[in-house]
Amino acid sequence: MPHLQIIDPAEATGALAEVYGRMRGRPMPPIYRPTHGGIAGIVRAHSLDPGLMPKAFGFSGGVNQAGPLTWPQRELVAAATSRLNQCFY
Amino acid sequence: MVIDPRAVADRHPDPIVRALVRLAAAVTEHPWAITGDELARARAAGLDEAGILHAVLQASLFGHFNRIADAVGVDLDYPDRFHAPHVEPATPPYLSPTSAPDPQVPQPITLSSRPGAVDLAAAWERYALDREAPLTRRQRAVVAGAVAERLGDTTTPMLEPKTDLERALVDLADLVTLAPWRLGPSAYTRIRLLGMADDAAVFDAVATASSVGVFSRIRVALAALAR
Repeated sequence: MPHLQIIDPAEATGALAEVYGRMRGRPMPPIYRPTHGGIAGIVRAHSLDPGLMPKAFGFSGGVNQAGPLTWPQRELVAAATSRLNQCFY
Repeated sequence: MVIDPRAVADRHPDPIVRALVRLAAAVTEHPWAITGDELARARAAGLDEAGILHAVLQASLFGHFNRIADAVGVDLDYPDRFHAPHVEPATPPYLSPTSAPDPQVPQPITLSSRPGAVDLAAAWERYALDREAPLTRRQRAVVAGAVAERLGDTTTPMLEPKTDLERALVDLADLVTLAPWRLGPSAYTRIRLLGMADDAAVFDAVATASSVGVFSRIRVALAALAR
């Protein structure tokens, strides 16, 4: 049970449905595809603000598509950050 | 999986691994305490300026994703094969600054050295600050000033909260910035009672603090590397 509402793609309309469609079409390594087959939880966690979603993930794409850190190095920074912040997700 | 980032930062045999985890920890816990020693250490480990900037941006960005995931309480996407450690809510908050880097000093590493980064950051930051609903522009500015102050970012003006709701928004912004592991329903009670009852407004309060924290962390870390 989430603490704040999550609007799932199946229930989304308007701007949220449109931005979910764009997020679904993003190029993504297969290992990042959730085993539940849907859109990643961290994307859906932004569902109450469809304007924020492309800003945050656009920045993420800009940070991580060009290097120079390798994929394992980026994951290392992300994992260390997440552990210190005690992020359960 | 990184069980104890501090142990990895101190003891991993690969100097680049040590340097990356040290940078991630510094940006996450206390960007205002970074000094040029961090830069020298990262360079000695074999990272160049672009790699150091990449690590600063990635740590700052994941600070946002961590906060949003915890604030919303979203389900895991994968089977939990690694048995993630439990959250310990009693963990003390990150320290508030005892000093702040001078943003006017020429910086060895700048955001503009990464193509496109300035525009993407500006678009997100503008979105976080320049809207009138659910939070008003004034409320966004109050939150941004409080977050900046907690991270040592002197480029964003601190605005004194004037109403109970503004004070409650600052308290929530403190939690978002310095103790994100405490986010959850009880963190939202006060702003809900003071009129921000619906989830979209609560989300906006958290996301505004989290978003501006990304940019304060980047600004402070890059300014601090010049010391």
